Amino acid sequence: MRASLLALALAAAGCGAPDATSAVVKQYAAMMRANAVDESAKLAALSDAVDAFVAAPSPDAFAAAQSAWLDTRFIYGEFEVTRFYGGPIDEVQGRVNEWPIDENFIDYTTGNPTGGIINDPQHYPQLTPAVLASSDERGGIENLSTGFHALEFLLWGQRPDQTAGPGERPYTDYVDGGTATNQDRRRTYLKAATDLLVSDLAGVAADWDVTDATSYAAGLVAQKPKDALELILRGWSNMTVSELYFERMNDPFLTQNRKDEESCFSESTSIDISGDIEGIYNVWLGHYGSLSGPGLMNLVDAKDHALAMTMMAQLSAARDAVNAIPPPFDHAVIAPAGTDAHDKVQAALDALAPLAATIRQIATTLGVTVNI
Amino acid sequence: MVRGALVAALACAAVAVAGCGGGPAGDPSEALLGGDTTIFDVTDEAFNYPDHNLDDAARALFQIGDGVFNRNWVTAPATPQGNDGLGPTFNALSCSGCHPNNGRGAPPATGDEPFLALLMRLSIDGADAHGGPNPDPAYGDQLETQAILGVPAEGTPHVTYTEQPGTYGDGEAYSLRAPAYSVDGLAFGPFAAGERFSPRVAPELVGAGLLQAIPEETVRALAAASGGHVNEVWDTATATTVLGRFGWKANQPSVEQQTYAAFRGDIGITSSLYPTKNCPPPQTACAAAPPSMSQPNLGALEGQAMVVHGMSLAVPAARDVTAPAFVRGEALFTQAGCATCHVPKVVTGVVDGYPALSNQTIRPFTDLALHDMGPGLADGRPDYLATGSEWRTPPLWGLGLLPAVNDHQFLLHDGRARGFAEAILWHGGQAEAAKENFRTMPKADRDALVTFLQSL
Repeated sequence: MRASLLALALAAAGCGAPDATSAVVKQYAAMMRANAVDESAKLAALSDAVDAFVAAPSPDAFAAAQSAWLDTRFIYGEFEVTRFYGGPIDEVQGRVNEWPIDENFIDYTTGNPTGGIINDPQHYPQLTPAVLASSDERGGIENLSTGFHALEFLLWGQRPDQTAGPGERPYTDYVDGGTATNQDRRRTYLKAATDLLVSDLAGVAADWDVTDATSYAAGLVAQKPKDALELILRGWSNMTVSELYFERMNDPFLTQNRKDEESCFSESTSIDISGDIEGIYNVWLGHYGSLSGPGLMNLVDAKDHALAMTMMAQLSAARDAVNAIPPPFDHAVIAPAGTDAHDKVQAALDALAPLAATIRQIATTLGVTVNI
Repeated sequence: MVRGALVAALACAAVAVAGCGGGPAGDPSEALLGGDTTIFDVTDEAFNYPDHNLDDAARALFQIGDGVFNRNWVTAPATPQGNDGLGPTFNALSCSGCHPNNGRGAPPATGDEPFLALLMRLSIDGADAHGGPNPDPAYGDQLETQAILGVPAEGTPHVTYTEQPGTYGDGEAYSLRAPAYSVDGLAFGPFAAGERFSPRVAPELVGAGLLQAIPEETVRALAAASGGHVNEVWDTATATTVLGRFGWKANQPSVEQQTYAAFRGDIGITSSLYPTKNCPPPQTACAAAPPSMSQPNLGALEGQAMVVHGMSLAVPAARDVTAPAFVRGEALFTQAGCATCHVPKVVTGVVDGYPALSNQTIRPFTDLALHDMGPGLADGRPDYLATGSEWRTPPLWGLGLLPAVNDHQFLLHDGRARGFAEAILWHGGQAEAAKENFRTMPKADRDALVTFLQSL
């Protein structure tokens, strides 16, 4: 034990400033554990609401399940900053939050009343979490049968018109003899997909428990601090630039296509992007909820004070600008030029744009490689 | 848990060795397979990144292309507009249906499983007006296995495998699986006598822009040096015959034409380059299907974005390049003769509009040339200047990451090889001597050579 600690210390010394970097890695792991635990609590509430609805479908129980789903999303958005480096969430991301989904693969759609797994008892006689997990992404990543957006489609239904409100699936889709067909299988599917999501995120939360020596978090903090820092920066930079700025905001703005907009069934993409920028902000500051400690800002500040101040100013401005977009986001992105909503989207994109160059400077300053 | 940590540790192993000095012999810069475009990722996202040195204006287009790449196309006419126009006959609903995560598709696991990422090319005797394959008059130049409601699909292909035992020089046994293909359910009558088939699996897409950036004179010189020859193919946009670079027989001249041809042939989506649907004369229901309001189906911005996406998908860095096994495996790769065609190092030229791809020292492990690969791999279907037994040397970068990206490592043009060793053992023709060198190596050397390939 002593010898290996010494070796670790020597190895770390070769990479410079191990204590400060190590402290940031430890704080990051603690924050992500808290974030994952909070998300698991939200999912437990969703699970309860789904159980109640499936047991006795009613308009109120349906609305409660929808509300519980929406309530999971901000905290999940924050947690997405842990993607893109092979961490715990990347292990399950494909069946947790992938989109766009193909509605026809799950359930009926306009013009296709017998579509989807729900209406195909011949090929899918049993609808269990394991069956859904094995059908997910079959033949391509659009063939999604699981995760947040499958649940979203089950709770809201299709939105044929982008300018109208959220999907209006009737709760009677889940009532025997009600609307559509295979209502019993739809109940089973909703429950199974919820259970799978709960169990996937519970596994992720366990993997961020640094007190478990076999967890991912324990491995991360035991690595050479600079290697761990590199992973953290890869996720943080990719989430900021490729995912939030380009894919989630700039793409739908340029293409004006609802297919490119994340939570389109429930019209709640505003929550997603606000959660995302909050998670990016958390990692920069080293703050999450009541947890406060060293963040990326402290490391940058120790090497280049001006750069840290630049990033602080740009990221704060971007966070304010993203949160200033009037919901729903999918209406704002297609609002005509000259309207307040259009201008607010443009302002948010303008505020996010300079972050890429600043983050590249930060990576160079910290001596790590990022993929943006 | 443990797996996640291991993957994470591997992710930065190459960088860590380089950054913290010391280590055995080996050149850390060999990790940069795509030069300055190289990205660092060993997860299932590894093929999803734009070039590391891509400017932000091009990144915006790349991300739009990424969205279109993952889009499921639906039957026309549909609301909302913008993603309708599927088929009428097609092989897949989306680009990513056959190239999951921009990676490589898998052949069917059993004879009953539908063909998705394995495409059956068709032709009859003779050549078309430009020297290319002569399409079947009823079915065209590929078999579309699906169709929209009310339109017949063309037919159903099947594959069965037979194990072919063999022996390494040291007596260790191996087995290759030899595919046999058949088609039934033909909707427009039997194939012509002498119909030619060529099954081709959807390959990984990373690095295509870099291959297009290799100067033409370099490609011709590489082909001459390796004892192969280039393909000369039809360029639709300029209506001229030009150098072929892409596809299993180098029958496409550019990422742009390959992209638009696949949109039309595989999904049925029209574009500015190919504005008409693919409905051969007997397929009247196909021709009569209602059109989309969007003509062509693929919008101009989306088309441009798709080309930028295809040109800019980055090659991930090689792993463990200073490890003794890599260094030894690479030396054996060269000694065995593999590097004659799988050329390890090439310098790109200047590409208009793509500064990120220009003047890069890259490690693609290809000469882009056609070589006779012997009867074992022959499809018997000529394709421009490629004979029925010739194939383009495929690049090897990224292949070691296929298990992470696509959960399989089925190699060669139809995915028959279950990993690197089988792929090498299928080599024949001009590669016979190199194959024999591998087959007769001591096991430790074979393992080192495969370790090297797995690190790419």
